[in-house]
Amino acid sequence: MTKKILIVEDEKILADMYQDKFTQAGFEIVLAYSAEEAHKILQKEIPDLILLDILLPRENGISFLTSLKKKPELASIPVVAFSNYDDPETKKQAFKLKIKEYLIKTDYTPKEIIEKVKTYFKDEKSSK
Amino acid sequence: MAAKRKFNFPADAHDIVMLVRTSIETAVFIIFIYFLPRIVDFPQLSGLQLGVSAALLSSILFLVLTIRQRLQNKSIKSITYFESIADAILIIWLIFIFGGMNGPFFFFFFLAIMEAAFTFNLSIVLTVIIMGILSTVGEYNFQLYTGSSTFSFLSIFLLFFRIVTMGLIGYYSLSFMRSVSREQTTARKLRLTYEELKKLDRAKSEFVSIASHQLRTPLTAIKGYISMIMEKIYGEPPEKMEKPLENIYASNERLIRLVNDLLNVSRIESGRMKLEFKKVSLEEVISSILEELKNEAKKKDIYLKFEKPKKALLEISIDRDKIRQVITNIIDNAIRYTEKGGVTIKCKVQNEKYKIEITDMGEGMTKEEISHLFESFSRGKAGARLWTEGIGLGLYVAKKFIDIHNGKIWAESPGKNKGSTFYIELPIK
Repeated sequence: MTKKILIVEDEKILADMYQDKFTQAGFEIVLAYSAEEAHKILQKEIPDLILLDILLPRENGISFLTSLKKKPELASIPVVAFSNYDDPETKKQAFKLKIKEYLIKTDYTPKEIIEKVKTYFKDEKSSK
Repeated sequence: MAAKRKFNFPADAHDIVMLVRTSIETAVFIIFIYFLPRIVDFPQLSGLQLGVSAALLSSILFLVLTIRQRLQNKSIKSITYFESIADAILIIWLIFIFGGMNGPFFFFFFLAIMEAAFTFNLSIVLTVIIMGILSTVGEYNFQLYTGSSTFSFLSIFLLFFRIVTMGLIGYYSLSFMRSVSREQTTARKLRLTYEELKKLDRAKSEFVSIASHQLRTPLTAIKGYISMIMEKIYGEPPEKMEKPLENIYASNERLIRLVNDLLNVSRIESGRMKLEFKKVSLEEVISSILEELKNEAKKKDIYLKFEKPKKALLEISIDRDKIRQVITNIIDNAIRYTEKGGVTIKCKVQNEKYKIEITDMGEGMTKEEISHLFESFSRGKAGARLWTEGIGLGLYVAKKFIDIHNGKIWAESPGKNKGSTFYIELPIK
């Protein structure tokens, strides 16, 4: 069954890049360029995983995550945070909101991100 | 404690003005007191009563001004303004204490001694004391109350003495009070400046986090797209393009490492580096690093050997992420500078410390190069070789990370082309 991933990423270049790789790897990708867009998408469909950038314009990733966890039907979707913002405080907040992992984008190629993400789908045996 | 001020008599323009003003105020006031009863008729109040009332009023005003100045955050300029008014009133008040020995007189007398003592000017201390005694004694020999007028040559001489003494006492006690209040002002200013600096520092650290985020975004794009081109996602690239693409990728990786290092250094130097201590098995960390780097070694046809201790070593409480970075950095360098043979990693417990040894058979280093190894590239220069491949900040950061674990890191080499060994020592906690 094709897994659906929602990628929330405000940099269009990077969003397109991840979409290319993830689609080629066999996933169905939905893109959101802001937290507001992501909210709208989540009203219409439920992805199997969310790849969330933390530094977003206007509403940031942490605030988005907080409102996500408040909705029971959305709270159980696994979320992997990825960002180039390496702030220990932000990381702590994100982990408190039950993200599966906080990846620094420059540490991984898109292929490596897929390898990481694969372990976090709900019905897979995850390591964390 | 009052600030030790070197007092030269007279010192600067301010001091001269102070003295001149004091003298003029004093003289004017004496004349005023003498002529006052001839102008205005005060049948009920004696000069003493007048003096005391005026003294009370002015001391209240002086107190109010002082308190006000201390409660508010006045700049030095406005404080001086208030001080000048307080000065004048205090001098006038002192002149009024012609009634003989009393509390306030002794209080200011004491302050004057203190100030003279703090300036270590013994002659002035003695002068003040002697003149104080003489003027008080002389006091009883004449009266300058409004109404009576017994002027003898001695009286005028003693009056002059009294005026000068009061001037000196006034000046010194004021200096003392001023240095105390200046001390407080300075302390207050210092505290404000400190708060400002802390705010700026915090803003700067956040700036570095955001700046590195901004730098990383295009680096992510380059890393991602080049890797995907090499993975043939966009079609088969011509074979000739393989090397150039690998070079672009490698250069980009260097930039990424540099940004990481800059972020780390900024955090360390501003004290915002947060460590997460966990019990970790160093052997497991080293094994995982070797797993990651084995392909790189294979490409150069050199071996990676891990000489594990026979018995599994105790776990050690460290920040796994940071120590892993350090060890990876060193093994990675070892691989890079070795063309034949291989890299051997040993790990053991010695003198209640964990010791990791990473030996390579590479280019080796001179004593000169070793001495500059752990400096950032802004300080000193090592051999050209060490900086071209961009060790850059790597070993500088590595040393900082080891330092905050209270460990030691150093390197030894028998010489050029004779390989090198890096040592890491970590205390067992």
